[in-house]
Order: sequence, then structure tokens, then C-alpha cells
Amino acid sequence: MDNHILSAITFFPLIGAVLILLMPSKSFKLMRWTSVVFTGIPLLLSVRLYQLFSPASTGMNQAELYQFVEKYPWISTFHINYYLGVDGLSVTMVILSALISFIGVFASFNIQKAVKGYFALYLLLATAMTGVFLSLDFFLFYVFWEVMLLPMYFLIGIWGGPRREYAAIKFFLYTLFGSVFMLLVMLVFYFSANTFSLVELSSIMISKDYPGYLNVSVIRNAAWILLFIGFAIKIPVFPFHTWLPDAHVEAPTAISVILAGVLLKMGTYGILRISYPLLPEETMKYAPYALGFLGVVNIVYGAFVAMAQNDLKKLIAYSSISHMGYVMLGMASLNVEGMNGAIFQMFNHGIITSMLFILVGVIYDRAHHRDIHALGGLIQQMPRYASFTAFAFFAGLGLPGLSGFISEALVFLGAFKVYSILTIIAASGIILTAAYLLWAYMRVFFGKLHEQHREFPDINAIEVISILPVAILILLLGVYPAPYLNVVEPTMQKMVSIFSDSSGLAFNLINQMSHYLFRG
Amino acid sequence: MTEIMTDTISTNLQTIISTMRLGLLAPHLIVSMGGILLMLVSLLKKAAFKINAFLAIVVLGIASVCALNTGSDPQTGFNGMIKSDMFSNVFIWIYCATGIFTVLISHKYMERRKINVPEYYSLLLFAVSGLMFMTSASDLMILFVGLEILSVSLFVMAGIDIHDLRSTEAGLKYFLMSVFASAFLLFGIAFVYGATGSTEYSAIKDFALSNSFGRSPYLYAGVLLVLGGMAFKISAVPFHMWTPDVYQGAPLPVTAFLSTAPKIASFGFLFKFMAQFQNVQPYPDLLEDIVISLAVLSMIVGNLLALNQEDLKRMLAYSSITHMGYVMTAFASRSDTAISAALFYFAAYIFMNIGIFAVIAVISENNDKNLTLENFRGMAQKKPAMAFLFMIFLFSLAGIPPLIGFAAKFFVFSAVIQSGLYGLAVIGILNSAVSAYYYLRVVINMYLKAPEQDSGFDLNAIKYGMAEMLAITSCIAAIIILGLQPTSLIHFFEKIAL
Repeated sequence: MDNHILSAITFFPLIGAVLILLMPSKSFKLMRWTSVVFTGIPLLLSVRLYQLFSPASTGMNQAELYQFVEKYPWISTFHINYYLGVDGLSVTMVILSALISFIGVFASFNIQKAVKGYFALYLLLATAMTGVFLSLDFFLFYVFWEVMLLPMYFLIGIWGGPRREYAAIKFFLYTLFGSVFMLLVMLVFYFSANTFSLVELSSIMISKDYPGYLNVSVIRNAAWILLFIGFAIKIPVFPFHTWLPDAHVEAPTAISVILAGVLLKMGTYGILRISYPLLPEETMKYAPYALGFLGVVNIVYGAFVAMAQNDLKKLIAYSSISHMGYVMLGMASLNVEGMNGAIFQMFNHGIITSMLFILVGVIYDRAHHRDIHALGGLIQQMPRYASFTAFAFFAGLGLPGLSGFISEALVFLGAFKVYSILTIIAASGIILTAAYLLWAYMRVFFGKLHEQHREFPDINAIEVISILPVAILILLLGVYPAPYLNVVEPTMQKMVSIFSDSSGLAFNLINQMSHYLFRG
Repeated sequence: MTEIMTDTISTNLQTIISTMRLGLLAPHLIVSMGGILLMLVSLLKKAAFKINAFLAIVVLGIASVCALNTGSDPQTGFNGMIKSDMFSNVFIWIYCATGIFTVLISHKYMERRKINVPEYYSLLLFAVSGLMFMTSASDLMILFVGLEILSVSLFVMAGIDIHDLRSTEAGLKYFLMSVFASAFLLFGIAFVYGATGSTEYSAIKDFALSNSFGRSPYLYAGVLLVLGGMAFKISAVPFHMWTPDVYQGAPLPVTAFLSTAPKIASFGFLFKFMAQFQNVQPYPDLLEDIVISLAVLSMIVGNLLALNQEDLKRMLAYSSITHMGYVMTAFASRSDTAISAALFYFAAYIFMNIGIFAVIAVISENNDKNLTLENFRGMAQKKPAMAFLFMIFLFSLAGIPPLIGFAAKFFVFSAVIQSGLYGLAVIGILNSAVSAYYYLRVVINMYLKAPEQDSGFDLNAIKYGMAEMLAITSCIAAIIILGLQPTSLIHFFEKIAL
């Protein structure tokens, strides 16, 4: 099993999906527990993967530094391979997607409409997500990326809220537009270097011996920008973010969890896996603006808009936009602290937001609305729920001792060295986050309890199961982040080294420019 | 004096017969003889409709096997008027397959609509033989004859539903437009002949190579007119006006045939004809620009007009314009992989288009009303299996991996990028994203909307026959299998050169 552990993690959910399709459509219980099993096994396997993983596998441009590699020819005329492998960048993302898929199943237990279709699509989605994180072949990456769209479209469109059709098609078209740009860049790379392997491509590109069309600097610049747009839509970066609140508000709870917990990370993961190693020079050129500046815009803008929301779910959705800004800022710093912080923040945001969305789902199941004004005093009726929510909100605002704090601190540490003014502006995001989360908490849990809310049962066992693993992880990593950072750091160090190695001149220029722009 | 004349005549006859090489035309002759046989059968028998359907499949099957026998080495016959090679063989297989699929989806539809005229199948066979002549031709006159055989059969097929005025209208429109296109083509051929003194491809090639293209305005004008005539058949913008009306009016199986084989044949001819000018130095810019603008216009206009169509057949008509635009980009790129990419696209296009029209034919057999998107509301609840198949076809047309539509677009845009036409590739790829919107509208209606109470469109009445299911399932199988594993097919096509 260990040799094919990556394929097993990727395709186990798909086997589950096929089994579910074969079941009689009334056996809801069987389908639910099948989904638990077929997302549980990949979770166990990914824990095993973590145990077996050696942090020395720093991947990037060296094929021998990837672990558990599986490489088989697929479409030989185009040199396309089925090529999977992990390095420090992808290993934690695989764990994240396995974990979130698993807890999402529990959050889906209350789905009553077309249960068979729901779980089949859900498991297909899980396969596609994992596939994206494991692909080392550009083409394979793209295929998984696109395959992910379809189940997501139906999951929002069929099981969503009142405006689900609009939200589903908006999500679909936005992402599709982003990905066709990626397709274009992919083809340019292929016809220049004659390979789709991300490993080979990065070693070619890092050596600066540009083949074919890539020798033209305009084409490299255009490639970076097109890739960025493709990934930015997924993150989502302001001004490409408008699909996200719509999708979240309409999506059922579990799908919001997946969307915020895993799908958004694909944007930043894509930049780290593809843009950074394949176009290092252009990355240095554009990172301060595209990632640094826009990241800070995300942080501040997201926080302000979140503050103005009355819909609890929309509030969390905008807080996601804000939190993904930290990831971008960390990535833009191009130093080890910042990058470590960024990738840790990806993981933390994944688990914290999942918890938040599940908690919002809990109150929605009872009240059938999420209007903050119409809630209040719930702490008397649902004390356990209130304490879980408090925990999640504190994690979200980066309370020391919880994991979000460490990643945000690392991001600021890294970013301050490069963009001091931007970082100071970004730090105000922390205050804003505290403000909107605590204000929302106050309005929902304190004050007078409404009469019609007196019947609400407190959080039940299934709901606790779905948030408990995440909560424990938030606490553990908050106190002792080493198990995470040790795995990630060597890879990040290596990634940073390509930026310090490659022409000092360019980097100086960037420093100077960013000095003028951002340090004042 | 007379002795000398008879001598020369007899020696001429001998050379003519020795250069004829009838074997090269085996598939063509089998199919056209089959057409005549079917006509005889329709006179004799009362149950001729059923027998003819069966016979048509047999004839097409035999013809495609014969194409195997003609061998893969290029051979010319009839004094260089016919050229048989791997390229034309592949097209013959494509036509036979399209013909067989058309028969499969026609039978029940025609019977339900009470237009079970047995001659329909012989017309279909004649059309297929016309297609074959178009591709095997290496002389513009043969091409023209082939095109006319095809067109005349298609006029009748499009207007065969005598109970429906729109079908008659479709037949008439197609007739008028085809005549117009033929006039373009003939005029072009006349110009080419005037400039080069021949209608044979190789002679035209020699002329173009020795006298640079640009220095001969007649050849230039002739080639452009030929291109224009073909653009009608392909329904490239701005020669596309007939498409939606004909698609909407013609009986569905005929639409399925009309939307695939003739377009593919026209492209086949264009690839073969334009390959003659591949090495002309300098390659005429205007020609290149015109092809590129045809491609760009077809993609953009087709998409824009498809976006808001409420009628499913019209929407598919406009979307087919866009699809032909994608192939046109490959044609414009003139890169090494353009032909294999286009061939792959044709294969994909046949499976997707025949499949989707088969599904629509099944749905509309019992429903006389117009097929608007609204009619599909809630289909997933009433007919889950049918809706699911329909959805796969739509997603494949939209180019979502891992279905064949994606692989096809991937190969085409690869060819375009390979030749460095980035702008064209960007436009193509963006259009392919836009097109997802209107395919998804159908899916939205099927899956996300509640069924309507009294649309007068009875989804429950849908029943499918064996033949239709056979066509649909084989198309679905091809779409999924070739989508996941396109290697062998594209590999096979890559070995085909002109």
C-alpha cells in the first residue's frame, strides 16, 4: 500500500462514490456511513503519509526529492504522465483536504434531498481536490482542477439556498474563466520545453536557460499574469472575489466547509506550486503588487465588509477573504518566515473556517435563518454551542495559544522585513477582525433570548464529532506548531533560495521599488 | 487519315482504362450502387422502410471495410483526378460511421412522425457517396460533382417532412444557399483554371510554386472564392445565415447528419486543397488573414448568438458554428499537428453531435412543440437516465475534462499555439469558456429547476428504441473512453499526412 499511498488517498473516495451509486436510493444511513468510511480511510492514510514523510523531501525542481512518486505514461504523444508525488508543500495540504472531507461528511448528515446524488458528488469532489494537491504533471493538475468544478456546481446548484442557480453558475463561470488562462499558459510551456512535468519545467526555468517561446520576456510576463488571474479567482483576490459570498451563502453547510477549507487554498497552492518555481524572475517582479499589495487590500477590505454583514454566513465568507490576504502577504515576502507563515495560515484558515461554517450551520438548522439581528441571548439556551463558538471565534481573530496566532505572527515577521508600511496596515486587520467577530458574538449570544428560540436543543453529538478533531488540532498547533513547521520549513527554505540566488540585481531593483512604494 | 484517328483513339482509350484503377473507388461505388439498390427495394416491397434501414447499414459497413483494402499508400487514378490515401480513408470511415449512426437514430423518429419514406435511406447513401467523392477528389471538377451529389440529396432530406411547413422551408433554404455556394465555388474554379490552365491539384500546386502566389491575381481570387464557397458549407460566419433555420426545420436525424458529415467533408477538402500552397513563398498574407478572421468571427458570433437562444435546436446550430470556428483555428495555424488535431476534433464532434441529436430525437418523437429550454425543466426527476446522458453530451461539448470534447479542444489549441498564433489561441480559449454558459443553461433546467405542470411537453411519454439506445450508448462510451485515453487515436491520426 505504501507504494501507491497517494493514488489510494486520491481514489478511495471515488470508489465510495461508485458504491453509493449502486445502492438503493432509500438507504440513507448506509450511504452516510459509506461516505464516512471512504473519507475516513484516506484520512488515516494521510496520517500514515505524514508519519512516513521525511522533511528532507523538498521537491521543487529535483525529481528525486519527491516522496511516494507514481509516474506512468498517460497520453504519450504529448508526453503527459500520470505523475503524483509529495513534498513539504503538498503533504500538509493533502492532510487538510482529507481531514476537511471527513468532517464535511458529518456536516452533511442532515441532507434529505436526493441523498444518493449528494454523497456521490461529494466523494467525487474529494477525489478531485486531493488530486490537485498531488499532481506533479501540469496537465493532470489541470484535469483535476476542472473535474472539481462539476461536483461543486451541482452541490451548490441542487442542494443550495434560494438563489442557488445564480450562485452555482457564477462560481462555475468565474473558475472556468480562470482556468482557461491556465490552459493557455500550460500549452505555451509545453511547446517551449516539450514537457508537462512541473518538476522538469521548474528545473529548466530555474536554470534560466529558457527554451522556445519562453525566451521572450513578454511571454514570460504574460504567462505569470495569466496564471495569477487564474489562481486569484480561486483565492479569491479582490476584485475577483464576488463569486465567493454568493457561493457561500447559497451552499449547504458541508459544501461551504469544503469551499472555504480546501478550495480557496488551491489558489495559493497553485501559485506556490506553479508560478513560483516556474517563473521565479517574474514572481519577484510582480509579487509585491499582485500578492503583497492586493493581499493587504484583501485583509482590510474583507474585514470592513465582514463588519457590515447581517448574515452570519456572509460574515464568515468575507472573513475568509480577509484571512486569505494574510496568506498572500506572507507569500509576497519571499523569505522563510513569511512563506512558512503563509503555508501555515493556509492550513489554519482551512481548519478554523471549517469549524466556523459548521457552527453557523448548527444555528441555521435550528433557526432556519442566519440573521444576526434576529438572534440573541443564545448563551442561555445553548451553553455548549456558545463555548464552541467562542473558541472558534477566538481562533479566527488570532488569539495567542491558538494556531491562527502563530501563522499570522510569522506572516507579519516575514512581511515586515520587506514591506514595513504594508505590514502595519495589514496589522490593523487583526483589530478589525477582533471587532467584527466579537461584535457578532455579542449580538448572537448575549442580550435577550427570543421566545421562539427557547426550544432550541444544544449542539448534538454528530455536530460535536464534526468539529472536535478540528478544535483539538487548533489548540495543539497553537501551543506546539513544530510538527507542522518542521515538515514545511525545508521546502520553503529551498523555495526562497531560488529567489535569493537568482540575479541579485533584479531583487535589488524590486527592493528599491517597493521601498519607494511601500515604505514611503 | 481515319486510320490514324482510330489508332489514336484506341491507344487513348487503353491509356485511359489503364489509368482508371476502379479499385480506388470501391467504397464510393458500393455506396452509390447501394443507393440505387435501395431505390429498387422501395419500389418492390411494402415493408421497404425497415429493410432499407438494414440494407443501408450493411452497405455502409461493407464500404468502410473496402476502404481498409485500398491500402495506406497514396495512389492516384483516373488520370490524377482521384487520389486515395490514408487521409481519404479516414474520412471515408468517418462518413460511413456518421451514416450508420444517422440510420440508427432515424428509424423510429421517421416512423413516429409518419415520414417513413423508404427512399430516405437511398438519399442518405447518395449523400455519403457525394462526401466520399469530395474527399477523394484531387481535381476541382470531381470535387464539384461530389458536392452536388451531396447537396441535391440533402435538399430532399431536409424537406422530407411533408407534414411540417418548417421542414419544407428548411429544404428550400438549404437549396437556395447551396446554389449560392456552388456559384461561388464554380466561379472560383473558373478563375483557378484561367490562371493555371488546370483544375488538378498537383498542376495548381506546380503553378503556385513556380509563379509566386501574389503575382497571379486570378489564382488569388479563385482560391478566395473557393474558400468562400466552402465557408457556406461549413457555415462559417459571415456565411452562416442558413444554419439555424435549417437545423430547426429539418427532421432531427437529418439535422444530425447535416451538422456533421458535410462540414467535415468541406474541411477535408480545404485541408487537402490548401496543402498545395503550403510551401508557397511568401505565403499570401491576405489568405492567412481571411482564414483567421473566419475563425475568429465564427467563434465569437456563434457564441454570442447561442447565449440567449431559447430554442434548443437553434442554440445547437449556433454552437456548431462556434465548433467549426475552433477547427478553423487549427486550419489557420498550418502547423504540423493541425491535421491530426482537426481529425481528432471531427471524431469528437461526431460522437458529441450525433449523440446529442439522438437524445433530442428521442425526446421530441412524441412532442410536436418547439424544443425550448423551458421544456427540459425538471427532466432529471422524470427521466434521470436520459438527463444524465444528455448532461454528459453537454459537458463534453463545453469541453470539460476528462471528456472527449476537452481532449479535442486541447489538441486544436495546441496546434494553434505551436504555430505561435497566441492571439488566436486566447480568443479560442475564452470562447470555449463562454460557451460553457449556454450548455449549462440546459443542465440548469434539467437539474436545478422544478418540473413545470402544464408545459404541454410530456417528458413521461419518452420511450426509446433499441437502435437509438445503441447509438447513444456507443457515443457516450466513445466520449468517455477516448476522453480518458486519447493517445491511440491521436497517435493514429498523427501518422496521416497529406
